[in-house]
Amino acid sequence: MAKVIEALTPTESDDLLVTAFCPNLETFECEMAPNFSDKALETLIIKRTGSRFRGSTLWRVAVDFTQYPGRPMTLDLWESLENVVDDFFELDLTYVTDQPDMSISAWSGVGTTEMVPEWALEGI
Amino acid sequence: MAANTPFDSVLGTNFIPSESDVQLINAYLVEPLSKITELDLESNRLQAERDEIFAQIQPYQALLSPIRRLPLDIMERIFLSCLPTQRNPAMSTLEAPLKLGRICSSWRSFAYSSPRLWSRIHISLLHLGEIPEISTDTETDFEGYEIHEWRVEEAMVGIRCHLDGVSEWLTRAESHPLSISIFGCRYSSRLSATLALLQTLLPFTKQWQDLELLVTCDHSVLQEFRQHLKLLEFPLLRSVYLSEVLYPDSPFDPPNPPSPFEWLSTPSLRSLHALSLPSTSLAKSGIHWPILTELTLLGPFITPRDAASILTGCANIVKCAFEVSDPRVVGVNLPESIELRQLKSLSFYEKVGFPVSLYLPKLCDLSFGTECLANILRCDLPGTPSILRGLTTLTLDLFGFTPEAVLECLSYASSLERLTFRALK
Repeated sequence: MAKVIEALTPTESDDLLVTAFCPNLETFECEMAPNFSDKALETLIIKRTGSRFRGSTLWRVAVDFTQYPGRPMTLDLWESLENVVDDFFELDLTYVTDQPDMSISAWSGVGTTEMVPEWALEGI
Repeated sequence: MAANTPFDSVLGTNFIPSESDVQLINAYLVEPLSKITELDLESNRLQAERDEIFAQIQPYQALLSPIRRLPLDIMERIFLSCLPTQRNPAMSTLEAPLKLGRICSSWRSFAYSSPRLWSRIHISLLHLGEIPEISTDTETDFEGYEIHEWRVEEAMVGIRCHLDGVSEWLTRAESHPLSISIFGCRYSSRLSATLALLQTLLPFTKQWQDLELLVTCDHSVLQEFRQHLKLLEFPLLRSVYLSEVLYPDSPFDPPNPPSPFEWLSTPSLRSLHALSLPSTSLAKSGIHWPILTELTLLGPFITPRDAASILTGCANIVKCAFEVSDPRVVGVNLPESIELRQLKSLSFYEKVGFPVSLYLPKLCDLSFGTECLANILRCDLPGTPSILRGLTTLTLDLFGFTPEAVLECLSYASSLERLTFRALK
């Protein structure tokens, strides 16, 4: 899959970005064997959404990294692509989490929030 | 209460009154407390008077309720909007249309006289009572046999009651085209119930439009059903969804039985979805394949020969999902190529070899998966590159695909707008 992502990533040609593979691609979804790096995906998205790209602009990328066991997140793409993700571009990524998704609060078990002073709940 | 008291200056403080102060304060409070009692009495009297008047006007206000004067056509539209949209309405008082008949007598009589409300129905065989099977011990025991008979009769009473409900429901639909879905469980001993239900539906075959049958039958039930159906007409039957209706290759099956699906040869049929049905029965069913626009042929019993034979006949198919999965007759009498000139959407899963070249000039949506390593890259087949060039949507099951094979596919798919890698199995 790394080779496929690499092939789909546009390359420099003069001042433009071009690709021979699927230049009209608007949606890319991968729910199977996503054995490519976060960096490679970031490069693909940045190049395919930039103004120098000679082809259709990507508007949706969805990758389910849980389908590749043991693959941790190496780059926070939501942060690095914060300038790309907007109303016109949808990023849907799923990673394996190391620990169960749970929040711990000092007021767990207190009951109703009325029993806790408002100032104590700030930032929770 | 006096305007000023000696205690005004200590109100709202931590002042502790002495015994004499307490007596003084109580004395100051006598008059205002009695005033409050008077006001409470007056307030209660006024509230009672208000309640009495309100009780008198309430029935008149109810008469003025706008819902009472709603035109019947609007009422029918509202009732129709209450029906579930993603599936047929169940025979349950928890949802429309039965629930609508539980509001008041006028709604009930209006609902019962609105045929369109009753033109769709979902029947779950799981609600029907279990029919006990007789054991070999019981057969020789007269008393045990009587008890068994009694249990069967008891179960059948419940089933007949349910089926009477089905019949009444469909009768309310008058002459409207019917959409019927039936759900049974896969491993059940409810074959008698299934047959009884199908017999209940027979008087309505001329109104069948959309039929979903997710039940398990054996050959004997299907052949009995076939005997009934072959004498009937299905002038409106438009779409049929059959799932796991028949298990093939039972040792008790007769050799080469007639296809139980001959009744699908009605000229109105446009859409057929067959899941886990033996392709041989479908191939010789006499279905008018050229008039179908939608076909699904999935499951473990589809031979390449039957798939090729069926597809060759589907000249006007627009949307198709099929797989070849039954390895018993591989590579026998397969055509070199199949032309499907109207096909726009194809989902194809190849479990056993299907070395047939497909000519699909209008195809724009392809889902493809294969377990045949020798045939992974089908780009070498005539017609495949031209298929890929016309695609706007491609879903690939990467099982067994090499990156080179994927890249070769993508190199042809120059018009692709949507690319998905997903397991199709």
